[in-house]
Amino acid sequence: MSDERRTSGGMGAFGAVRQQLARLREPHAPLDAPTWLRVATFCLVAGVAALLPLYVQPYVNFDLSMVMIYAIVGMGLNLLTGFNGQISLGHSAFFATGAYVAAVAIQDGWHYLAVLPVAVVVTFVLGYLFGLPALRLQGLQLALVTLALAIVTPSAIKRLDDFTKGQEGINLYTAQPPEWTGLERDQWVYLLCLVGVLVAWILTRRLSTGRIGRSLVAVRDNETVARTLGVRSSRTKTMVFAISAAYTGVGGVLYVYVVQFVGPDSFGLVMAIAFISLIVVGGLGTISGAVFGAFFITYVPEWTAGINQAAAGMVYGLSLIIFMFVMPFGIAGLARAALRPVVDRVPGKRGLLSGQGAPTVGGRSAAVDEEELVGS
Amino acid sequence: MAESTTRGGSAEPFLSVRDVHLRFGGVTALDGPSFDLRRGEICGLIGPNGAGKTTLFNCISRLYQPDSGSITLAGVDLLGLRTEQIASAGIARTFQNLGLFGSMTVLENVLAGGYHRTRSGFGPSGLGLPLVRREERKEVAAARELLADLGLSDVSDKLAAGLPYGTLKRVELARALMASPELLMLDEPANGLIHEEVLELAGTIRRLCDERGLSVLLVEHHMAMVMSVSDQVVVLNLGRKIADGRPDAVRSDPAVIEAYLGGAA
Repeated sequence: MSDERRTSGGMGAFGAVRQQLARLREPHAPLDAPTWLRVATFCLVAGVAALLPLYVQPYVNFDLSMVMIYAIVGMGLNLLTGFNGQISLGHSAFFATGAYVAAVAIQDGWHYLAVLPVAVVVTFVLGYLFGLPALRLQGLQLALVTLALAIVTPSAIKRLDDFTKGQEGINLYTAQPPEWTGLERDQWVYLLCLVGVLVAWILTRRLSTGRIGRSLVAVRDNETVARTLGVRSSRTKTMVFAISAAYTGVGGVLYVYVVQFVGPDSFGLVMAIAFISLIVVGGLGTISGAVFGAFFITYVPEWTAGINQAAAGMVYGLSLIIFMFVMPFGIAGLARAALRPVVDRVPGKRGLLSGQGAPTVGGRSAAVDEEELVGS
Repeated sequence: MAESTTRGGSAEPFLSVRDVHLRFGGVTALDGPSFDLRRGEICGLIGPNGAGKTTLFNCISRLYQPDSGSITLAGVDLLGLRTEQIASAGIARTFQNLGLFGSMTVLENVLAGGYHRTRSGFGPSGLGLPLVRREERKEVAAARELLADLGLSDVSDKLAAGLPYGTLKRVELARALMASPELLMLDEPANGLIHEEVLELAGTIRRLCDERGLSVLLVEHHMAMVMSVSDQVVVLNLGRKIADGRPDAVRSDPAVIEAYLGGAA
């Protein structure tokens, strides 16, 4: 297939550009890093991220907390859309549910950490129930129905004003740091979000690899074949829908910790579109992509706020179109392509699935590997 | 039908297809074929295009529901099963136009074949329990062994999309074997292979059948291969069985020559 592409590109500058563009559209397998490098990178990033809030301004901590919240949402949504192939435009509804469950419960006197498991259960169940009819729908239909969910969310919140205080919203004073920590509120909340995103990262990695991960991708790539292999695709799809809703619910709870306010208009269509552009820009079916995408949707509204209130939505829309056409594997796909030559040369014991860790393959050098890659 | 096949003798039929009818709108796809496959044998299923071979495959693997008739495997009524259950019933199949997962590596594709035998669910996987890792390690070892056996070790970490067709055919075979089936159903495994590869494939199938005690149902257009590898050949035409027997008997059956070879041979 790639041979065809290469020859049809022709000569000349235009051909070269087309070739480069075509390369951007190629899928990339996950990086094959040695285990020590993987663990070291994770610890280094986590360590730096943990120390960072002590040295930066409160507004930076606020922004970075939002990045981590969106990253959690992105990971959940990526399990659903990236790995399992179900498109949801309605995850803002689960985010709102998580946020409102937290806000209402905290207002009722619950401890702010105690609402977290409650919100997880509520959004999980809600996601599961919504996942059932979603089984009957595919692709565009599912996108439309979930889009309706996103549209209806703000009005639903306003209707339920006994709980939600309607248009007025709920103001809270919550997530105060324990005294022994000596931390400011912004730092404390940042660290809570960091714990959340690290747990989400590990969980997502476990669910997107191994037997379960393969069953998700199998259902996405070819559902009929997956079923002949014994994958109960309906169950798999509803479970993933529920799990991704729960991730998003956690994001909603953490959002309450950070913002200390919930109002219906925060959870509208723009948020739904932001979530989708998050995973597309970051990279569908990747974990790191959720982090890249989270930076994107956190900072785009800040950059565009000076131009126009609606400009953020336009940037989301445009970036969706551009990325889908030019770079369907997003920033994470680009990062994989760029880092692979380096990572492949790092020595060390690799994971189970690694080509270089294969016990049955002896003496395969990195040079041979590259030759094959170019040749295939 | 000309000559009854009694090579196995005493053993009961392993796969038994009885009077299966299936109609799509006004088109009769299957018009009551019946045949038996004995355990450990290779049965070639041949016939001109549109004879109903793949349709029958899809009935056995529960992708289609026949209007009437029965299909049993070792006495188990297959028509009472859902598609998701056939792997556990001991059936693995390949697909005419490849049914691989393009975004997975070759190794992952093969590992996916072991899904029904393995247990790690959402909960244990999410918690990262030791048993999940242990199971995965065992599976990976088994998959690598299979890949080595089929000469695919060198491509094990390549994405399936983009590999040559002949290679992918072997990957699909490896994935089917990973399910540890008792009945292996191959839909045109030689399609797209060059002559040497076809001979090699025939040898591989024969060997697998003997080594693993597999029973094989084989749809194939490559006549030389079917005739050389099969213990039994069933010929379908327009959804009906027109011949069933040892390869040499079927080859000389006038009905087969008439329908299948158009009288030219």
